[in-house]
Amino acid sequence: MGVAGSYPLLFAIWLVPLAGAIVNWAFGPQLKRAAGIVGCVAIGLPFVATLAAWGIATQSSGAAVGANQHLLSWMPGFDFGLLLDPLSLIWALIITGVGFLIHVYSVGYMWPDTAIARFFAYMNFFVFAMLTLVLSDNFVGLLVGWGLVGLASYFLIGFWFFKPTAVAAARKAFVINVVGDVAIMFAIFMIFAKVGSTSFVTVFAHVPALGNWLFLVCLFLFIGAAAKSAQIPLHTWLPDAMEGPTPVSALIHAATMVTAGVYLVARCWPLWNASHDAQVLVGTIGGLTALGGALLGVAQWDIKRILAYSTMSQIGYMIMGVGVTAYQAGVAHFFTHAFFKACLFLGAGIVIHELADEQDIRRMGGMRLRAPVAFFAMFAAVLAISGFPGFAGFFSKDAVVFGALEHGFPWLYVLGIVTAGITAYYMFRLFFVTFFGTYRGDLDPAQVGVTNPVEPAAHEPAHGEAHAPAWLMAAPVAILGVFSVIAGYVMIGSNSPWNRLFTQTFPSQNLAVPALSEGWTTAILFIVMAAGIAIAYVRYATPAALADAPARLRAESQRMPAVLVRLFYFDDVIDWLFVRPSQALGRFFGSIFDPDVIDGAVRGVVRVNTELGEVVRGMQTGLLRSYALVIVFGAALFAVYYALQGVAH
Amino acid sequence: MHADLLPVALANYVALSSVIFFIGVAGVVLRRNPLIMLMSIELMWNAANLLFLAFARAWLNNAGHIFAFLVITVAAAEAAIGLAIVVIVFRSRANVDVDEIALMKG
Amino acid sequence: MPNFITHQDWLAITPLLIAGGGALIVLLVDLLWPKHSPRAVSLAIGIGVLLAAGAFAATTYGRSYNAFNGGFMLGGFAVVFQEIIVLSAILSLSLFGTFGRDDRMAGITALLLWSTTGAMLMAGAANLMTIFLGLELLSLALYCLCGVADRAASQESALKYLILSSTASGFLLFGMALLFGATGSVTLASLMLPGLAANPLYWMGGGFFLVGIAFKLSLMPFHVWSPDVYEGAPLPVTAFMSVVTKAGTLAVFARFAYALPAGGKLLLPFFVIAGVSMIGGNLAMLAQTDLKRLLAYSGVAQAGYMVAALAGASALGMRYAIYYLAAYMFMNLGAFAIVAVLSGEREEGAQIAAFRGLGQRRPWLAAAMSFFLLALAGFPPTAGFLGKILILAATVNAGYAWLAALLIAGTAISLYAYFKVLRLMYDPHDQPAPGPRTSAPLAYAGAALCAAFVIIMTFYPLTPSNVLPLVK
Repeated sequence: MGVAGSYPLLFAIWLVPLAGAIVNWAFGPQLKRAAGIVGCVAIGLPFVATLAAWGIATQSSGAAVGANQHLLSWMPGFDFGLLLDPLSLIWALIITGVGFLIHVYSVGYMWPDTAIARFFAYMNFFVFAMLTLVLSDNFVGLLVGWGLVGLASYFLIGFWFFKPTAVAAARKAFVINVVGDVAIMFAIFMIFAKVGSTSFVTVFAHVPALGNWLFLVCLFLFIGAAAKSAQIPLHTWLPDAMEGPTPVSALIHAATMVTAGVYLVARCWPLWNASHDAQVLVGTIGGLTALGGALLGVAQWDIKRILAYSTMSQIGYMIMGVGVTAYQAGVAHFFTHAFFKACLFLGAGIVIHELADEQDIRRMGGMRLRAPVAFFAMFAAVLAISGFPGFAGFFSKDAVVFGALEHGFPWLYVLGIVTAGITAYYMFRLFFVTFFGTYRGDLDPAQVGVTNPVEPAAHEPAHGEAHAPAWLMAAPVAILGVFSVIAGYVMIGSNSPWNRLFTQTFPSQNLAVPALSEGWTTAILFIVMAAGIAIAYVRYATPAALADAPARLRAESQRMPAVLVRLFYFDDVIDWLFVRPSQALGRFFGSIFDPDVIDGAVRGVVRVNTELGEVVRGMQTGLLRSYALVIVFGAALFAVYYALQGVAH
Repeated sequence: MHADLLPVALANYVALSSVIFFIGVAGVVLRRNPLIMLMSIELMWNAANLLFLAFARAWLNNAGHIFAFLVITVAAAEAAIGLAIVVIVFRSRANVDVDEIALMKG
Repeated sequence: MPNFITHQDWLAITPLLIAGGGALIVLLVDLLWPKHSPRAVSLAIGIGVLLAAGAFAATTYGRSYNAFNGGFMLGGFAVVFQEIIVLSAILSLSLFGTFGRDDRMAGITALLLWSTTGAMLMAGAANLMTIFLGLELLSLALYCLCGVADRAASQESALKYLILSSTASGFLLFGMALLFGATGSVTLASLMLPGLAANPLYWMGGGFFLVGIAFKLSLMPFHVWSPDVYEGAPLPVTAFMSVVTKAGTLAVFARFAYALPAGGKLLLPFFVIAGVSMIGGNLAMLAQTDLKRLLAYSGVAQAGYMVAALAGASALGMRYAIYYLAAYMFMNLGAFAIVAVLSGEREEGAQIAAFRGLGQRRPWLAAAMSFFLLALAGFPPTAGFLGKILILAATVNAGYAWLAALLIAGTAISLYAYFKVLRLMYDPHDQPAPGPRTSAPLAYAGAALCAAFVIIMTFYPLTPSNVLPLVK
């Protein structure tokens, strides 16, 4: 992997956010608004250190890219340390860099909130956890980080704990994430049992030792990845997670945490290289998630939920990329996505702030005049996510889609192209409906098709009494908008900084020449994307459509296909498959236990297990003689076995 | 092994003590009075003692004899403690049917 | 064959003599004190005696010596187990801050010391006689300890434990007699004689012997006593018995297993019931409302894990089993200490409902409890996680992949049971249950100590690297 040397600042990168969290937690009441400054500094310093590492790494020639810091040794096979190689460097750069911008934005966004110190303590803690995840040089450290980011996400989704929906969403996210944690735990169990070590270097050097467990290990790792990265069918928590504050959505549920699954697969590339079954599985799930997320995005009206589904869809692209072993492409898409998706979320946050917490795009309109910074920045980001040539997403999406073909997965190639068209359509739909035409918020909600309007809730303290300086929110959005344009240029050319980093990280593979060249792929993608934009334009942005906007939106709301409105019936299927049968079973056994344990599928599993527990419990009658009988019975079974053995010899 | 030193064949000792042992086991499972259960347990232990003595003789190894004395000593302590426990249970219930003693279950 | 008992032999059992004799001192002080010696005095003498015994045992570490003609083996193996036993006894005694009647404290302390002595004897026992003696010394004192509370449940638990355990001892004894008949010797070393496999006495003897061991380790289906006895016995006694009985018996089993020719079919049923325990114990946990019962079933499963580590009798397995036992001691006793802190005389804290909303009421206690439960469940970054990973590696390497699979499945089930308690503590919808505010500084200290050691053990294995040469 070309790791050599040490970089003592790694400790600083890793621990300064934790220090920030502790300070904010302990001295919150004294700090008041200064908590924001502490929070920003605690992530700004690591960003500078990471940037320095990036500079060193991209300028260096030869094999030495990255650094390794040893923390402590345990039994043989357990060496804990920090690792900064190109892969973790990219992630650390995004976590601290984009994270820093989002922290600055949060100072403005959370200005009126009284619990601002608690908020920044959680945010800094999240950054620390995420850095633990990506900087660890072994599976155990990765899993610790994996669990801690889930915990931080739980706290932040439920930050406004007086909203019942936020609490429910937090719990759902936590439960699904724990399922993923457990899956990874099992994968580590298996790896250690076979290889006898948990450090990346050793494990990846002994992939053949996994034998026929290889696919199982990949499967369990991917269950963890899918839970964290909201891949079908473990995606249902992500849209609900939008109950958290918008900066949280931008940082955790768009730019960083949800891409941990991509990181995991890319980190474990030697495993995926060795298992074609795992490639098929992960690539297919990624492709389906990309398409499914895009389709669901078409049917949403809530601006944050649209972005949530688009996140799910874009992560689907990344997972597809790393799944088909086009690792560089998948990672590149993570890199560009972090900028334009954070930009979209933060821009949406400005709009939501401007409209006093209205999130339904049907009740927006004409926002280009009221929020010009958001308008321009989001325009760049929408072009980037659609893959418009020259914008950041163009480079990485092209690479992912072409990578699928190049590595022999033509059906995923087709999925990727179709999804690109849908993506362009629904993102421009969002953009046109929100920013063009006239403001519709003062119309009767029913007139634009909103059947159950959510009045601006009292969950956020009233705005206006103390407004933050406007630049606090505008500047990060503008910067991210700029990066949505230029982030892709680091990848151009074989001697670009990007390629200098990654050609050594991932092995070059011998690939057959695909039927369609990269140039053709670009052309096809452009045509499909242009078609998507054109349809969105015709439906929402022609002068006629703008004039008739309320009626058209109402009609669309009423005619929306049920399959999309009900989110492909995923929650219903889970209900039918797990919750209802186990409820029936529970009634059958006449003992219903803990009716609101946890959500959905997990509840079903618990039910079934509990019934089995009841069976064991039923054996325990409390009567001495029955216990003696059980013991004698067990002894008799033993005696039979041993008598047979005695006779046999 | 010096089985010829025994007055009757070694197998007979094994058979007898097995029978005594299983009478003891049956007593524990079937009887409802803890005192009788304790006696049945003594039966099980003494079946083992008989085996120890027979084998000690067969192997000409005194360890079996010593073991038997050890078991007798421990059994005495066991009986003392057992009776005390039965007495405190009896004091609080005035009834020692073990089928009536099932506060805790599940 | 040297038949004389030398001062070396007495030196080898000095830690036992200290513990057993210390009990007499506790009783003597109680007798000479004007009325009854205060609780603190008895506890202080008890803990002091145990510390002395532990310290003396530590000085003999690494010195291999067969005391009493091979009846008691000194060496690293015995010392490690003795230290674990002594430490658990100290931690359990520290929980007695509020439980039990003052006037009985001297007796309780003495009984606990004797029980500890028995377990320490088992740790070094290398022939059938000393095994039996140690086991009975441990058990006889425990019968009494179970019944010391003035509650019907406590008396019931004593009676149940007495009858069932004596029955199991009957099986053990009968098995010992048969093994003696097969080998003509009471030493475990004689099990290595060639040609034993042709002798039916060897098989039946081994089988009955293992029944007795399985009972003490509470492996399914010989676990039936443990939930009731754990629930009825006074809390500190439950804590004591949950670790010390397992530690002593595991030492005996390890010696037995490692004395057998490798790969013996003799142990197969034992590993089968270890696997059954991992699944069954964890399943049964799901339906519990009493925390002591829950921990009893958890102990059933944990015993299964420890036995699984010894499958295949590898050097690594022994090391990992000891590691897991030590980790189990800290996480289990830690959980008991938290229960003790939350309990008054009637042990309200043992109800799972008492943990409702604890996260808001007493965040530090809730955090510590979560930590112990996560460790028991085997979550990283705790010693429980690493212990499980090591056991898995040992079982797979020894060719017992099915045990590894059962362990993984059992772990998955157990998560729900432990998370049930966690959820109860942290769910914002749950109103905090009013609980007694007891002041039990010793229990707090015990919990803190356990938490510290669970963390330390996560990073540094405190248990020695290799004790196998010292087993045989």
